[in-house]
Amino acid sequence: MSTASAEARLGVDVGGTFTDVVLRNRDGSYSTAKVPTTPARITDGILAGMEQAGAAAADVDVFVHGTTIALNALLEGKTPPVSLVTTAGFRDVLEIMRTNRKHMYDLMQEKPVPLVPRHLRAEVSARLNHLGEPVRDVSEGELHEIARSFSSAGVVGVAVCLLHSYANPLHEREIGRALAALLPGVQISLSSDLTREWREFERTSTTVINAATMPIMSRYLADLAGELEKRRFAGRLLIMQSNGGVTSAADARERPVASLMSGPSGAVAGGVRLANQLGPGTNLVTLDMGGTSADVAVIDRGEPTTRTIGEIGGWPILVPSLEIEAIGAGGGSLARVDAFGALSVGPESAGSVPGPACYRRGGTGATVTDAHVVLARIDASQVLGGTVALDGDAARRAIDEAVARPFGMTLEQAAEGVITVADSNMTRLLWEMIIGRGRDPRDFSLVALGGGGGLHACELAEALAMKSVIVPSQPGAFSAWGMLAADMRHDYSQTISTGRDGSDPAVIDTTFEELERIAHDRLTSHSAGSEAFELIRSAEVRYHGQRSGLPVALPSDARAASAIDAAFTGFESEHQRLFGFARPGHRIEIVRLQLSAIGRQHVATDAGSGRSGGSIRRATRPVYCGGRHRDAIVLKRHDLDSSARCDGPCIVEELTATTYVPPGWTLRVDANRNLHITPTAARQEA
Amino acid sequence: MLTIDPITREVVHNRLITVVREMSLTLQRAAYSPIIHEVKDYSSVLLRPNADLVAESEGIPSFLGAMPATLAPVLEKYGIGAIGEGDIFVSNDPYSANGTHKNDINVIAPIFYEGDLVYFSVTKAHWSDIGGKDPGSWSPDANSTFQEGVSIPPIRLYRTGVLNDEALALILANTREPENNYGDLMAQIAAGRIAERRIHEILPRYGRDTVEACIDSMFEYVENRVRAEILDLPDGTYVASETVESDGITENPVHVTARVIVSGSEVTCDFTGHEAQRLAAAGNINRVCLEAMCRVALKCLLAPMLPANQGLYRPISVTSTPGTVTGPVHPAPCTTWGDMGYAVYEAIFAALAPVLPARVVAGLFGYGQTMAIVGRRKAAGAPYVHFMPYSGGWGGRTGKDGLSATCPLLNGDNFNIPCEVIEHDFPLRVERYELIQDSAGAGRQRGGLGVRTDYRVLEGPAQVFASLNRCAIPPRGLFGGSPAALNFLLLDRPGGEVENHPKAAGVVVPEGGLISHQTAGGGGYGDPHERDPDLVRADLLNGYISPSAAHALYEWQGRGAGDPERPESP
Repeated sequence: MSTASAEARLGVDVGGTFTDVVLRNRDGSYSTAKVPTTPARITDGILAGMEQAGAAAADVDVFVHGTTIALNALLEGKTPPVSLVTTAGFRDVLEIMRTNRKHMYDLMQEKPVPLVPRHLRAEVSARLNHLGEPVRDVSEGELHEIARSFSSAGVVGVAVCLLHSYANPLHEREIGRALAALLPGVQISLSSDLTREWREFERTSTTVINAATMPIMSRYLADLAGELEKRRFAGRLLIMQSNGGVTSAADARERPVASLMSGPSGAVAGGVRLANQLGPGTNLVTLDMGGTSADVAVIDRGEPTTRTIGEIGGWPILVPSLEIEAIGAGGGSLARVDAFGALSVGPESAGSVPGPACYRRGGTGATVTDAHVVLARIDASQVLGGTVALDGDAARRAIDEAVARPFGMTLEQAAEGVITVADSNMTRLLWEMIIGRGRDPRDFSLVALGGGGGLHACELAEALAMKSVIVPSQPGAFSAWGMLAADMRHDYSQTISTGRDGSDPAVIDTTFEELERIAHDRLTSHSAGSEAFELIRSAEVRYHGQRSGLPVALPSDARAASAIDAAFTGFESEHQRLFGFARPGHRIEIVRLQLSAIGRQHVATDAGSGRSGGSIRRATRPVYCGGRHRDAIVLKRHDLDSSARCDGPCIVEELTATTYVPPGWTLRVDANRNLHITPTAARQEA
Repeated sequence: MLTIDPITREVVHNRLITVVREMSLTLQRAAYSPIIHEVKDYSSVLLRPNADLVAESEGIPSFLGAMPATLAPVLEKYGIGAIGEGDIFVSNDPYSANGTHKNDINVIAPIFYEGDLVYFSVTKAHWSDIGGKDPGSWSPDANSTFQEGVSIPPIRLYRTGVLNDEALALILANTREPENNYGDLMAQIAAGRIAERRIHEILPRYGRDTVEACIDSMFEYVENRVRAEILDLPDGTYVASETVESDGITENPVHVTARVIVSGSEVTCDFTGHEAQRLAAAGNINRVCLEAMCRVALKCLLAPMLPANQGLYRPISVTSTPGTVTGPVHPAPCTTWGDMGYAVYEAIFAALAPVLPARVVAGLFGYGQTMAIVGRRKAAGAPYVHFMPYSGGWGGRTGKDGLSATCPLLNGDNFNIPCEVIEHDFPLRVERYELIQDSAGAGRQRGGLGVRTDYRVLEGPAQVFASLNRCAIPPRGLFGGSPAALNFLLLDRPGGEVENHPKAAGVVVPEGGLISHQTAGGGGYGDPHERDPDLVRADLLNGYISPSAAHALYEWQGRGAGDPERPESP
């Protein structure tokens, strides 16, 4: 094992309900803990989890953290008051947005309420043209006036986003310096520090969200770092970002907008690590099914799929982000029959409070979890999170009242119907992300995550004719396990707007040199670590006239003979692969350059644990599937080693998740204790 | 008939929706005309052989209900028994083919299963040019259908998989962008093939009888829900009128009156008895588009979130008189019907407002407000045309102010062009892109605000072409709310006066001149005096209304913005 991997690495994923802690010891062994999240002070839960996992802060070399604290504040409208400085004539860009509307026929729809009300948006006369050349300079006098008004309004943060600052940050920096001096204690976010891409609304939205979440992230990370320091933590604190990589805590405090999707990204980081473990070129789709929604992401030949822009609560965020789509289908999704005889499942959810009827928390609505209890796919006698026994009668009552009686069905038919409809909804999203984006589902395995993923995965894989279902070892701690090995990653991008010919190799090289300089400055100033950074160049390429392009890799020297031609050829074959056609001879252009600085984390592949030698307990219980009760074999997850094999119907139970293997599917276990479930017929052919 | 359980129905319905969405995705990706992927100016449907709408993907609202009508002329001309596997039909004629805008090309393909014709796939997509007198085939001032582009009656372009290349050559010889058009046609055909492939997967999987029973059941479900909504309305005839300010050639306004007759669980939109058809395109709306607009209006009011299928249409009928502006006959020009279109749905909203006060919105800012800035670059004299969709205010609603800066109802998920991109692509400087104070109608719930876009001409001269509406008759208020401001196109040329040119037809603006495009807000809803004083105060603080307007419209007595004291009585 290499020396780089002989670090003690801790992954900490703080979710809405549970905080997961995974410690990889210096000898490659693991210990884990799952403790309740402590909303009043998140750090308390983390410390409790560390203690339970036996992770002494002083012994941890690398602490990787995924947090949804800023995201939650944003979604709950609990961000502090901030203000905005714009170019004269453009203070309403934040409110005009892009003028589109999502629902064609809904006359009652709303636009999201801007995070900065209009009276806190100030205009400055400074102006750049589209080449980034100053047309009017910054006026100091104006800034004094603006600072006075912001100060009296009590704002704690200021966002500055000026027209064309993607081409030249000069004015924003002058204004930032002046306001920092005039408004001590107020945190300033400049759009040019966050993104160098055009589209003023998207950039403004990004900057405002950064300003509004900075105080929250700062306070939180200072608290966490302080507690760790008290416990003599001397390692590096790294934060999971929306792009699937990690960054230093100092960087995350300054650019919280880049780590808003820190939580959901962890599951994808886990998917990437799993894909690496399974071998080169592995194609996976992760399905992380929680209480209210299911997150889906695609890992294409070992690489996560990303997009150049994210969105949260209707607000675009112009930073490269993993492509994660959510659908309102979770264990708490409510099943309802309307007055005209249609059954809907979700998106309304009972959440975790009051929760499914069987949770004994006051919920009475019929949920997906209740349906699983009725079908005995979830064992009603098991205890929830180790504390409260489920209430099977409450589940039956809820399904009976909400679905069985209105439809005149048996209880089991109704429950199976609820699952079928929930699956049908999820299939639509999976379809969109796989077939709808030019991918063949037969090449992909579905990774079941969260409490509910394993209960639905086989039926979803069946509907889409996917290759197999994989349930990783410890599906509940998968995010924390994935993030502790995630690479450091910073993305820098630049719209190509200087000059009409975006494919001029000299322009490309100059732009990349500038991006490399910015990358170098940031990496040094945050002393991100000792690792060498790999610099990877890519470009967004499109046919002239197209609205969006495709990412294409570029060599490190664009002036090299035929480098651009090679990139364009790569674009055409990717276009052919994804869309089924190319347009030979049509003009191709580069619209955006991206530099990714990646610091590889050399964490050795987990050694296979092989056979445990212990006996496998096989109980049976009747479960309802395909319209009748059948005896299913019930297995305990921790008994299963690579010798295990079982045909469905079968149930695998573990503390935080249940896996259902339907008839026609066969379960086996690999050396790393991942479950692989494949159609039985296909297994026999193989 | 096979009875179907609601669970199977839900699953099959999800699969069918997935088919039409995949058709649209295929079409959008493979299409050449920018308007298809930018503005989503297309639609995909599955029809039964009797033209019942099985499933429709969400395209732009203008096409709602216009798709099934394309099949009848095909069946009438060719006879269903003579249609074979591998046949593909195309059409666009607003008269003989039940077409819409001439650029909207219908591609209609039968889907066979086990030797039977089971469904038709139909796509409609906007080709960037289809001939006619003007580039782009957008001619509000066309005086006959012949000026609007090539007419394609239903023709069998493919017979058993073999292309009639002579017919295609004739069509393409009459357009300005034959290469793009050919690419779009191939994209539409590809979409049809996807539909066929998916139907061939679905029918064996679920069983043909089951799928058919699910479709019947979905129709019935939607129909029952819509009928229940209509039953809630008191029987009666509800009437309201709207005015289109110009027919495209003359300023002689066109009056449109909606008589909405509610009887039991059925509703008829009666547009009979209108004036004789105009010899100017913007003054006519053909039957198919009239029906589509009525369906848009009623879907918005009665069933915004329900899937569109035949069940939605069954309780709705539309009547009009042939030879009139709402039922023009050949060869009347009629394919730039957007102004007539918004008049139709706004008249229906206004007519039903008294019985659906919680569902309607007050007047919207109009339609399109299109403007093109045309000029030449100084360097090399390269020509440029700047054109983009504009947004404005929507009307106030029960409990909610209107939406500000939102694209027209008839457009789909329509994006503006960022100012940074405009300045990069054209020798124009955008000096303002902002909401217009006092542009909204006052009300208990005020309208949304309109948008001002100011362009400085950097390399002159430029020419301005515009087709603004609602320039004389403002968006209406409802229930005592005030009308909104008008739309303006103000041209400020050095050395001259500022002039309003909402119908500019090539007005020259020299270098240094300013083009100020200003859209209307939405109408107000309810008595302004009933507006929550805190909201008036917030509007003042944020500058959405001026102190004088607050005083005049809301009788505001407070001291205005920043005033910490609550006024004694507003």
